Amino acid sequence: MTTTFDPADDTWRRVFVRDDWPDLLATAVRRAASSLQVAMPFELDDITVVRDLGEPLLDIRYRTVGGLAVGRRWRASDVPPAGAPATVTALDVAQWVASWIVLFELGEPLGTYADQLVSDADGTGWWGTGYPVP
Amino acid sequence: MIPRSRHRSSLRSWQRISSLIACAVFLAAGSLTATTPSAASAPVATPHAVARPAGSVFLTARDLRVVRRLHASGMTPAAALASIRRHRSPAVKASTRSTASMVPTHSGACSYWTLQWAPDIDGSGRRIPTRCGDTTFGWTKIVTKHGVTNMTLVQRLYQQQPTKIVGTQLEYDGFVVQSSDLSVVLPLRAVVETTGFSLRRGESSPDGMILGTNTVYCLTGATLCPVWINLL
Repeated sequence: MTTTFDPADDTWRRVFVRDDWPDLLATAVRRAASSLQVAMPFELDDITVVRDLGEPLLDIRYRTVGGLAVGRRWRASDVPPAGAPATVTALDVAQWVASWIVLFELGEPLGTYADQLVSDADGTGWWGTGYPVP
Repeated sequence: MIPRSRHRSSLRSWQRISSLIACAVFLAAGSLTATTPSAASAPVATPHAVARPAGSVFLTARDLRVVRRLHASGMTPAAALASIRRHRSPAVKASTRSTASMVPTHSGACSYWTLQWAPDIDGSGRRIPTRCGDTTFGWTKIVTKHGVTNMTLVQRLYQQQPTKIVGTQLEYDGFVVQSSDLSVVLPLRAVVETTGFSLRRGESSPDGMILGTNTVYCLTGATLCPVWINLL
């Protein structure tokens, strides 16, 4: 059933506890990465769902324009700071979160964070909170 | 999972499209020699490419086009920039704020919803607040992540109509040029969120306004906004 989104109704949060939510989100990120126009083009290398911290996380590995290998770890339960899904369906919630990740996490210049990347054993520089400890 | 080769293919396609758009923008801005705003073909001004500049000036695409024509007709950069200040459109003049409004409206306590300064009115009459936010949103993000520390830059971006409207987001593009060298151009973008409810915080904005400025960043291939853009 498709329902117009109502900010006061937080039933959309239920999708976060679905077992398939991390995979649904990962798929949505892949789709968004190949379809959205971003400020800084990037090449998505890989997205894996991990549970290092006792909760589902997306390990997103990508390459910036200059070829820099970068990683961004996103908690599957994280809510973007702004925007809203079109409807309360899981697909629309996933699309909303994925769009934020692609537009404002991966597709934006790293800015000062470029100097604070934490490299793992593979040479990927991680930023944000909850990145894998090398 | 989508094959990696398909991502590379789509990236290349995007870069081609991006380059075409960038060329169109700069042709419209009246310069065949300008550096491109496309991040894919980067070599616009980087922090390392510019040594001790005298200062910078914010220009809309229209202003940049006029300045370039004046400069091409023999004016010095300083004279061309002075001329554009005199001949700015009435709308821009009307929306130009006094310096009194360019100081933070809060007294240092910076919570998520706090307005960094009085809301701007854009070229379409929209009221756009810029909030303190956090590292993922608002002024805190703009400063800590992107190195844009001059609030005048943000306010100048809003003195025009949105360049693009994408869903609930508005984009405002502008240019910062070096006062002494008009060939050094740095494209800048502000992104505004027009919803008034933060799903992450589960609350509406306490002042009833939209969320407002999401981020401001330089459209360079470099990862940092050069320091000189803040020397308005």
